[in-house]
Amino acid sequence: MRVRDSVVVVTGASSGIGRATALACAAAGAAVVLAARRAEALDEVARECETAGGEALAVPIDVTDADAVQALARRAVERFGRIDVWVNCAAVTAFAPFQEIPLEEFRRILDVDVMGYVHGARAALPYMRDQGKGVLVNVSSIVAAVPQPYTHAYSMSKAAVRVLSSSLRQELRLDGAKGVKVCTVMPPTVDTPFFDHTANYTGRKAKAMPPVYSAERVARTIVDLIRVPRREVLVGPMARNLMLQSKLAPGLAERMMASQVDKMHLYRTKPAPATSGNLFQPAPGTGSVSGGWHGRRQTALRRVASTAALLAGGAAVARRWGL
Amino acid sequence: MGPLTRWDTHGFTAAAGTRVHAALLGNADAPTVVCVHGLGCSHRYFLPLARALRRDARVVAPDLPGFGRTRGPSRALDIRGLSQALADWLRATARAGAVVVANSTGCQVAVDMALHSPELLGPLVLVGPTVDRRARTLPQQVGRLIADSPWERPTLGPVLLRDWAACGARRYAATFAYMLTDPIERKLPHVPVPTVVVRGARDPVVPRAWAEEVTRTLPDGRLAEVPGVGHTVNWSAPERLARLVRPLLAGEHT
Repeated sequence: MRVRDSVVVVTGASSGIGRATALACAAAGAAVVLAARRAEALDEVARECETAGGEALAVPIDVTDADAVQALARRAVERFGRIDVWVNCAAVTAFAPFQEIPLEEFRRILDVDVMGYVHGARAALPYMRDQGKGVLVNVSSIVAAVPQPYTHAYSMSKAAVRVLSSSLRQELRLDGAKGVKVCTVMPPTVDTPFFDHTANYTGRKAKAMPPVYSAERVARTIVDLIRVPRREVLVGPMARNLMLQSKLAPGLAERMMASQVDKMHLYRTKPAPATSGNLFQPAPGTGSVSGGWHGRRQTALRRVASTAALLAGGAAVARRWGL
Repeated sequence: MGPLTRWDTHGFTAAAGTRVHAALLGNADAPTVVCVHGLGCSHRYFLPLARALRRDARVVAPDLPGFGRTRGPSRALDIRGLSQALADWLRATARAGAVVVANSTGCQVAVDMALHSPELLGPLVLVGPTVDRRARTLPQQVGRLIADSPWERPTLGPVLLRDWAACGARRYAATFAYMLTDPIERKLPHVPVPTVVVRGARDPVVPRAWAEEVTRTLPDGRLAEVPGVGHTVNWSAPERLARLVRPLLAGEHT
């Protein structure tokens, strides 16, 4: 589907991947409808989208409120006439030992990350089926394939979202709604404010586990996905790597992920107080795309390093075989 | 020539179950002229006419659902569907009563409005109204369109190719079929507004006999011929067409 002139609804548009996606779609000439809890952040994103060249409408809602999500879809159609693309992106998480996270916070995560997507799909699909065309993008995560310790609710949710997409695709196929596509995006660690917003009961500060990718890169993937919809897309070589590992050596992948998270996802030296993060109250401020984890710089550095390694390897091979 | 090679602005309106795109050009304080495009076309081929009228009118050229930059439903709309979409857009943008300039199949769409939303119609200009009731078959119409091509300016080609790509072969074919079966001659007596029928003198798609019949059937019709041009007068003779439209803006119809 052409992105230009299409109407794109993005949940979780106040920060991170959602915000980057809204901006990328606006820059490509789409009208965007922005949904998240923080009105002041959405207003700023709306201004940025208008500067980028698209029309924008900010609708402050909480995706756990099914009626509010229905109202969001109605607002989108009232203002822009249709819904071509719906991007489910609003998600929260917690780092906590299983026995220590308060049950209500565990439930809250499932509510936002699973039911929020369900509400979005139920609101968007009727319009898309009426139009005979549409793309529903569910932002999942590579942790849907290789889950992590301490983020049970989040990993469970992301697996659930992946399954939801597959179920919906099958149902739409049986109903003959050929023009309506459902896609899952599985990014690896992305440089967003997510790790500062997280609930945390581990006593250790959370950080973005390398390799870190930029949110703009995920947004580009989503824009490509709107143009040419595919079932599931992995973002970046690390995600593809992990997916392959999970299929070839699932036990090993689990063990590696466990030690990786222990070593790289939580600081050993920086303590953190117990907090429910942004689970019940949105983070203050006007939000941002990046979380200050240098996703773009890290990607560039990795590229330089791997190119150098390749060249060195090539040179070694050439010398060994006297080419 | 910078500002004259493109439209002033593009507007989008939530109407007719989609996001209707319209291109705008001209004096914002002047009376409105709404341009309704023909089969497989869009706002684009009205640009020369809009340029010619820019001092005297605010020219607004909407794209009907499925054409140009307006997304349509997956199944093509018939003439009634298109005319209801146009009516819905006229209501949503408060443009009832504006002068309507229609070309080709757009004439069928505009005339159909007389049956369900006559109150929205302003003075009408039917440029090359289709379809000649004596030639209501696919081979005849295709033959006439091919016969018309030497009388069109070559610059129209790239414009139309772009619009055909936007609407797609399936929608074009389906709309063509609806166009052929639309009994415009039975609707013409119900058009409640002064109407100018414009015919390119070389137009094989709309022979003079048919144009005269259309004019006769209209309660308040007048025929004007533009010598030397074919079917798409708005592209090949915009200045001469503008001269026919201007009197309607001031409300003088003779």
